[in-house]
Amino acid sequence: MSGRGPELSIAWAADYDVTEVDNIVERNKWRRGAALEILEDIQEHYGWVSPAAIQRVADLTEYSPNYLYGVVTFYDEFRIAPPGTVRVDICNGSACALNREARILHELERLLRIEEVTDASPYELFSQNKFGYVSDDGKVLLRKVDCVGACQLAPLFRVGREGDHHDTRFIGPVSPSEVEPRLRQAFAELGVELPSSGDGT
Amino acid sequence: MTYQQLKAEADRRWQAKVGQNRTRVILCESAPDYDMGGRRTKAALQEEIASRGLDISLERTGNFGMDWKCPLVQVIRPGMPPVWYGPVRAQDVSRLVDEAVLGQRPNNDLALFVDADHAFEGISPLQELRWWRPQRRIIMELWGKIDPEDIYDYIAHGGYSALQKVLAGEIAPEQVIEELKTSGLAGRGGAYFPTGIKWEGAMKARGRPKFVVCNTEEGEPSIYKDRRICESNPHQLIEGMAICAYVIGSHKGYNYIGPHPLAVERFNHALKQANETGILGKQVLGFDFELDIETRRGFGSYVSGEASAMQASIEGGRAMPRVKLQRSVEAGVWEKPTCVNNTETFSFAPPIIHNGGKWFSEIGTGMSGTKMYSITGHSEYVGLIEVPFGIPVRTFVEDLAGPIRSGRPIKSIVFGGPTGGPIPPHLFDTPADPKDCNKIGVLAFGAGGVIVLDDSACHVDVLKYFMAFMENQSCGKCTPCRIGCHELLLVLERISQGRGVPEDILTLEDMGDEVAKLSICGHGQAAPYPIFMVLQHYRDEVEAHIVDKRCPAGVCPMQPPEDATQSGFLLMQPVRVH
Repeated sequence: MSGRGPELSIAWAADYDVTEVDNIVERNKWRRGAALEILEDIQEHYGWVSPAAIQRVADLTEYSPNYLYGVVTFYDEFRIAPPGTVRVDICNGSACALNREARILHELERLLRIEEVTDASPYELFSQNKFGYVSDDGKVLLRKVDCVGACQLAPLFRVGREGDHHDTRFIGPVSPSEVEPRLRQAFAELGVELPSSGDGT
Repeated sequence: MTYQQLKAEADRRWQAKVGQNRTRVILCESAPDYDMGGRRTKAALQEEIASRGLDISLERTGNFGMDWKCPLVQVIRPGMPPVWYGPVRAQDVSRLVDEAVLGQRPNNDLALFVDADHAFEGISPLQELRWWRPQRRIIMELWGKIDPEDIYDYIAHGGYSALQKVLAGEIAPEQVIEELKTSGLAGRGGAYFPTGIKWEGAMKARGRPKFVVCNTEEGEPSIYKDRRICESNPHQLIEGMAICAYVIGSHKGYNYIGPHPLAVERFNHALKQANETGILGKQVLGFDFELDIETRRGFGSYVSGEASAMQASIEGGRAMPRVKLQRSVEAGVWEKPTCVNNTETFSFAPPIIHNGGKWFSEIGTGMSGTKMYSITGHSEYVGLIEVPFGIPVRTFVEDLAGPIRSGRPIKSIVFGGPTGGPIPPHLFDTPADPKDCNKIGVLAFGAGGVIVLDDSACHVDVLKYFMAFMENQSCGKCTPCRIGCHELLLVLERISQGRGVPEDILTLEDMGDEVAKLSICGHGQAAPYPIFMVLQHYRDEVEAHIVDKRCPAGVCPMQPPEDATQSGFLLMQPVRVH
């Protein structure tokens, strides 16, 4: 699992069509302090910010790639590896944490077949989508987020298609034993299959 | 358009809306409603109405604060008072239409209250709810009444009249500042700096151009009031920002909104409407004053809520705070004079100008005015409230937060989110006010996050959670905060694993003191406050962890994790680098 490091991101960048980056830069370059706006638009359009996109922005503007990487890696919502099609966010707000969110996280990791990288260096950790882990088949991104503002549902997690916040399902309050049926139901409603392991179990 | 034209149009539209001789079904559409399935409820309602061929007007409103009963639906039959129902899920819709909309049995199990003076069909009025009685709403006054996506709804309720007064010269800019000073309005972002003095400083600043910045970045857990303002009444915020811009002489405003999609969407929509109706743009309300407001999206970073960090973020870089040699009203965004206020503070400006500073100063004891709080934790009622300053903490515990969900006794109530502190039951008579709470040890009263804890919570665990958050979100610019928060977290983890030593309490106090004193911004300065508060009021509990090696609440593991084979394990954990 720890194999999905920076090399792979660069390899995937081959299918990352940077033509839209030009339009995004064109649209934003008149603004003062455009770097963040450009990167945010790229993140929203592609779902992640690839090295190719950063290089393209650096070519078109006066920002250096270093500066742009600095910005991208500072904020939690940016991703520098492909996110997958489904996003599962587990809330780490105070109400959720107090209601024992840890066991729910373990259950989600088991169901989504995501191994937490414990022996990774900070750099590897961060190339893993910053505290988010993609399942082995690359379809699901599991993240721990700070308070989604739905404390009435605590403890909760949310499931949605990447880039479409209108169709996000907030699932809570859940006990660890309820995670499996409700996650399956949410995935069925989204029309996505839960990641399965290679040996068919 | 001039204000008079807008007002006439708005009144006409509002009369048409209220006066229609058919049943109105008003859905609350804000983030908590959507989270609980509000979009599906709406779709089901539309389908139900279409398939039955009913003549019903389906409308929209913002949040009402009752998050635990979302999605909320308001039904107004002609000549009857508005009745609120919740939670209305998609499967309840056909029953709701039969019973409430068609009036077969309005008092069903979903009925919450009736918005009138007297009970209706056995449904008790809003005023009789314990949750409602202590509240006094100024910012939230129109929430649940107006459509946040329709500017005319706000204008019909007196919106933008304060801006008109200011622009028409009925109140001079100096007088606005005088009113604000009289009102005693203080910054609601957590620092409680007098707003009048800040605006005066910005007005007198010599640099040009000037900027108005609204801080809607709420990265900390358990606070969600500012994004709800953008979702439920964005125009009041725009009006407040416009007044500030005129008073200080600025032509550019930024609203920095955190990663909250609905808030960004609603605020952008409101900006579009304001530009179309001529409330923003080259000639604001037909007067010779130009104003442009732009939304800036925060991309998830707690420290961006710190004023100077947010300015760095608006400039397009990493949100790292600056050492403040000059105040931001002298040198803020791009080293130009900048007036940074919280969303709630800006939203207070129109009502204050409307009703006068004296009116506002008479509300509340201690600090003047009202304050919005978001309540979460183990309590039954989870949501937003607005109450005057100075009501006792006990009111929060007993009325506003409601009973504890699990039925256990209450252990403490935390004011101020991850930088606040747990207030023990014997101090529940303290007024909820920054100054009074300071005296009992809540050093950072914060932006209004309230967390209710029952006795299943362990304070060491809570501290660990807060400190983990602060450590995670530290920007890494200054050493005391970057390393200090991490080291404090290690000590707390050690204690929770049963490996604490008696010196640890001293370490926490000393190191916390250093972190608080040496950090350059409010993030590090406030990070250790909860530790001081817990050591002041719950030292026994911490000592039980260290001396008796047991966690009284049974939360902490009290043993090292399985994969930790050596004692130096914790120090080998990777430090997060940005």
